[in-house]
Amino acid sequence: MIFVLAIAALTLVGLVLLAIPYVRALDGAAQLSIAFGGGMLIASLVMFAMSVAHVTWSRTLLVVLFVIIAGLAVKRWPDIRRVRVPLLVLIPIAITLYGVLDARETCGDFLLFWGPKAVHFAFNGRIDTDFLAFPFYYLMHPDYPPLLTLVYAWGAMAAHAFSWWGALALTPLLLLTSVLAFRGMAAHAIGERNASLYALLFASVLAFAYEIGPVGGAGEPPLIFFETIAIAALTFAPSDRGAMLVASLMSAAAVLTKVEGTMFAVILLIAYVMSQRRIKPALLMAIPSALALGAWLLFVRHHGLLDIYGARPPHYENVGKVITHLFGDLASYSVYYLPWIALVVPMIFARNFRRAAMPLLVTAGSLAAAVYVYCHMPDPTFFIDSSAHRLLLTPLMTLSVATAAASE
Amino acid sequence: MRQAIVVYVAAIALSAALVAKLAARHGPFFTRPETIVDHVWWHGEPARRMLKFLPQAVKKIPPNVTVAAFQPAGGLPHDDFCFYTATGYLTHQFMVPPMSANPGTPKKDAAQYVIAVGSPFTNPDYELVETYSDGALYKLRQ
Repeated sequence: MIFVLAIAALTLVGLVLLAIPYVRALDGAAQLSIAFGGGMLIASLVMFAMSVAHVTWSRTLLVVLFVIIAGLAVKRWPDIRRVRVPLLVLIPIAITLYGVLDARETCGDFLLFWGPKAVHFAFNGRIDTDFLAFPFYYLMHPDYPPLLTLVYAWGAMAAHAFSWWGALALTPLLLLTSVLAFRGMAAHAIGERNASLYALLFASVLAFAYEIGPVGGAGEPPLIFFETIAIAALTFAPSDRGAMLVASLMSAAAVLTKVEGTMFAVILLIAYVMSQRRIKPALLMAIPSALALGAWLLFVRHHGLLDIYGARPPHYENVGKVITHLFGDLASYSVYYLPWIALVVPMIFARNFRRAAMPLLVTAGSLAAAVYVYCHMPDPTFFIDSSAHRLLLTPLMTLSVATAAASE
Repeated sequence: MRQAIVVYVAAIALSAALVAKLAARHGPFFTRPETIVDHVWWHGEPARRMLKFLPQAVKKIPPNVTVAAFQPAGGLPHDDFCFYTATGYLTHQFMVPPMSANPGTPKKDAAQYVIAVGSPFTNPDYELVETYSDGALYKLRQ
């Protein structure tokens, strides 16, 4: 319980994001959700910086640092009278909560590398490069981005133990915060009623796809959470400087969460330029992600851990096989493409395709990126079978945002 | 209005599909699971079986020793998910791959402890420390 509470308490650290007028204008639930994302990003940056500086983490030191940062936001508490949570969205989230707590949605990768890395980072009080460099642990992906493992490590240090169940319980929490952030940002553009309606669809699609993944405890729930905030901010307030700042920070968080986060950040910026015809803001928005990626790559390169970010020979001869297997088999989610159909059909009533252009471009870009990634595997079938349901979460999420954006 | 009807129908269909998928992972449905993978890994999966007794076995293993974990095949080491899974539970020890417990491995390179899931581990270089419902703990003979 302390593990989960300590991680949830990072929301207090992220309240500094309420200094952004755009965030302050949202409803309380969206403010808290974005603050949670900001808190995870800030906490992981602090822990990463300490590792770079060879300062060992301790619970006391981290608590002091986090309290100082939270103190900066002491006058920026969200107005809880403005917290709006549509009750219907709680149904798919409650089912997900049951699924993870009854061990029905646990991702194998959580047990095989996300969890073990976090356990060892917490135990040794640093990003344990000796552990990552141990040749026999190579399959744990030594250069995988650190945000989630650092957040878990913080929870483990606060609780004096890593909680496997606690980490699983974060999956529905991250789904809830994704939905609330999306709803709050969408409400400004498409109205409260429509935002709540499409938040229900968003929650239903992702809850279903999370189960099929399954993604419990793995990197996808935080990745989708950060990506949701980034794309929703730019879709529903493309010209607002505050929204751009939020989008750029959350893109950086996505970059630090999974390798796919870098693809998303690049695609998002390209789509922004294509749909808004504005290059300068896009270049400015790229800075946090570029700094985050650069810092992490320098760190792993310095410690000789570079692996997955390294160049791999393409196997374009597999492109037909990849497309057939990915879209012919896996994308159907074994329910006749129901998640996709559920998102496309409401577009029959669409009134604003211009607003939906950017998330639609990101959807197309993410699908193309998935094909590109799998074309770099000598035998893609195994990798598609074991990861496609999770890789397709990003286009599913962005299509959800597009469907909502087009509705009004 | 039509938009809302379509969204509600889609949400109901997706939620029903979600419940059906969860149910397809078999019962029991309202009993506290033994491990975090009870309904996603089949009951005979070595790593899942190992998780049932790993917390007890860890208490018997001293710090700073090397440990291998696997489900023996024909009494000998075998490569499976146990190695990586156990890494998340042993913080005071060093997990080494199953081959470190192969017969004939020089003592200085051999795993000092072995967590064997299911069937017995028959390498004569090791002695039994303790048995559990789903496996046993072995120690390298001095």
